Amino acid sequence: MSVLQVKKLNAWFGDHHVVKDISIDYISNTISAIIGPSGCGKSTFIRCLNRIHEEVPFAKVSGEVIMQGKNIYDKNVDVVNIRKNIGMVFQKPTPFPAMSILDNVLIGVRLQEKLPKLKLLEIAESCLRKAALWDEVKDKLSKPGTSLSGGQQQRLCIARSLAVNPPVLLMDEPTSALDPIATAKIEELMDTLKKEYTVIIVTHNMQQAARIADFTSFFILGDLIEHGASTEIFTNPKNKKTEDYIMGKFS
Amino acid sequence: MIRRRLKNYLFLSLMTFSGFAVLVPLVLIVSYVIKMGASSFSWTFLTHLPTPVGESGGGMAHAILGTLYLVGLGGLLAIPLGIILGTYLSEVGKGWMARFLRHAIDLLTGIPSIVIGIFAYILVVVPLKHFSALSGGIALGIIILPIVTRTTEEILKLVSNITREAGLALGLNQVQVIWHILIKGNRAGIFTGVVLAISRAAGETAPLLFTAFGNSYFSHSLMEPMASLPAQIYTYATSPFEEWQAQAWAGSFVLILIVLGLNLSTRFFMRQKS
Amino acid sequence: MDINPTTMKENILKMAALVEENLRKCFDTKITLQDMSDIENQINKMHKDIDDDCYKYLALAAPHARNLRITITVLKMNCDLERLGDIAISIKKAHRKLKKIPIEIDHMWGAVHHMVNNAFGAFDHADVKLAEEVIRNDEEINEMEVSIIKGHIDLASSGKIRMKDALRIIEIAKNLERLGDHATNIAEDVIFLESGEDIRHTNKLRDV
Repeated sequence: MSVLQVKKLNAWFGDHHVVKDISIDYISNTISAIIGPSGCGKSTFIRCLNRIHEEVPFAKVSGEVIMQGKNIYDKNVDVVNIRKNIGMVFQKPTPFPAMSILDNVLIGVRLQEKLPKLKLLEIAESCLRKAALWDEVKDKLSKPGTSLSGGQQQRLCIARSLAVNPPVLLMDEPTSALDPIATAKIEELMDTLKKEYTVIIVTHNMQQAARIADFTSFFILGDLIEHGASTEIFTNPKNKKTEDYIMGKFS
Repeated sequence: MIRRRLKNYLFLSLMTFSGFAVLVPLVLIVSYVIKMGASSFSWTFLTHLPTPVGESGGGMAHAILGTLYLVGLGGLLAIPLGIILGTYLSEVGKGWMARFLRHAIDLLTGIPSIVIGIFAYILVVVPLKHFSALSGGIALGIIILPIVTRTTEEILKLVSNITREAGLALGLNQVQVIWHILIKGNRAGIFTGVVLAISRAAGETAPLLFTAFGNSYFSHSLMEPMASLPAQIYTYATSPFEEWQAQAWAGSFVLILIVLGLNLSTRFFMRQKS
Repeated sequence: MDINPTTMKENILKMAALVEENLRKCFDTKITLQDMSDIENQINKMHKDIDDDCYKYLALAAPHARNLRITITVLKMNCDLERLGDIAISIKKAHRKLKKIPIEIDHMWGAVHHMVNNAFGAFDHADVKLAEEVIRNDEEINEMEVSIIKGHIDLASSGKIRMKDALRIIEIAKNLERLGDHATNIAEDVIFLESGEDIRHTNKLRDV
């Protein structure tokens, strides 16, 4: 069942046409990866899905992104509301400055709903568990978020996004800045996350897409070359360019 | 090889010498002030009003209090405005209005403080027809404002844009991101800017000379002239009386303590932040 | 990923269990060829599914070291198991036309059946010693095959038994020998899996 439909999405930086007429349907409770050579518009594409792209000066978008029956680019849509339903984890782990681990996790929730303290703590624990970070931080929730290692900080950012309970979670190269062990820990999370959320992840590491994603999209220079089940893309892709990329003939 | 060692030694010596060259004036000033002022520095000095010449046991309590009042008033006027302006310039300001404001703020830092004093004189003292703490506070506020604005803007500019995007991505609006994440998150840095501005204002003499002017007694009113440490030191130092001159040294000692203390405290706060 | 070495191992053992069931039935006169065909179909389906799983696992997970060896071992065992299943059907076809089974065939069948079970067990329990025993037993099976063939050629040419029957018995003997070969292949694969060593076409164990 489709949770997010992208229809003829185009994006520009000024005159530079970076995302070209892309349409993809995202199925709920799956992990979809976007792969392709550098500079092919992957990051710009997902930044259009939660309307972060337009925060950059001279950015322009056209097309539709439909969630729960409504186009998020409609005229009278509140951008801030969209982002409560489509969360994002960035490439560089960014725990908020001068804030404890607990405050970091809860900041999104606290500023959007008035909940009793006990409920907030429950939410924090549940999200930290889903991010596989609870055991490592449960005794030091009041320590600053910046005191954690890089991999832990990224899991903290994931927990923070989950606390707002978005049905769709976008991840822009979440493990690029991490070492292999930290990367593996985050990949292990994916199966758990799939049960409750739909994940769309941009990765420059196609092996990672093969390992964790149910569906994979292949982009070159802003064009969608192929989209399909990972088992198809990595065993028998339909497009020769996809096959060449998968086999490492160009990068 | 020997040449390399010699070069190394030469530069090391030059750097050490430079370090000393910077430290020497500081040490000389502080030690001279202590030497000259220590004899008049006492609990009496800190708690008593001035006594007529010839009588002992006078103090600068009213001036110390006055400095606190005046700097406090200037801060009240300028600090919130400065933080808001600095935030505006960093977060929202694009286009000609922001550029104009930024230039204006920069110019303000360059204006000699005596000119600011004259401005406050014309603005407040002349219409009211008397000196007042209010005009002194306004003068100090004008000195404090650009410093707080600039440091706030610079601190916020240092924050990586990804932090802002991460805040927006949680479904927070821009005001929430600015207040809860950027300002609260950098409060140590912003506070440092505030303290530096205050310590600068505390040491200003010229603008107070014809705004707050001075007072021999305690004053707690906005509309009356008020004593301040720098002004009092000036008055006593230029007087012909030896006891008053000695008290001027003691006052200088207190003033240096306040300013140095405030400056050192910022290092403590910055360390806390990291 | 849903496919991993644990699930692949489970599936191959399931397939082995099906093969084992059909092998047991091929000398049972009460069971017909029809009865065996249902299991044979399941075996063939698993043959395709397991190959497909291994293919997908290799493409998506890019396994290394032990995981890679398991995948390759499972792929190869898949082949051997499918052949074992086919041979069981062939034996049944030959067997049902015979009125009497000579005792040497019974004897050979017992030994081969034992070998096949040991090969499966060696894989299941990662038992290298058991695998080595299976490889050693192959020699004996080959000798039995030769003796049965020679014996029955003599019996047929001297007219003591019908030519048709002799030929069927020889066919069964050959099939049993092939069963032994496949069991040996599986055992060699187990040794490769556990030790990383490829001992095929060496005389390491046979000279003992």
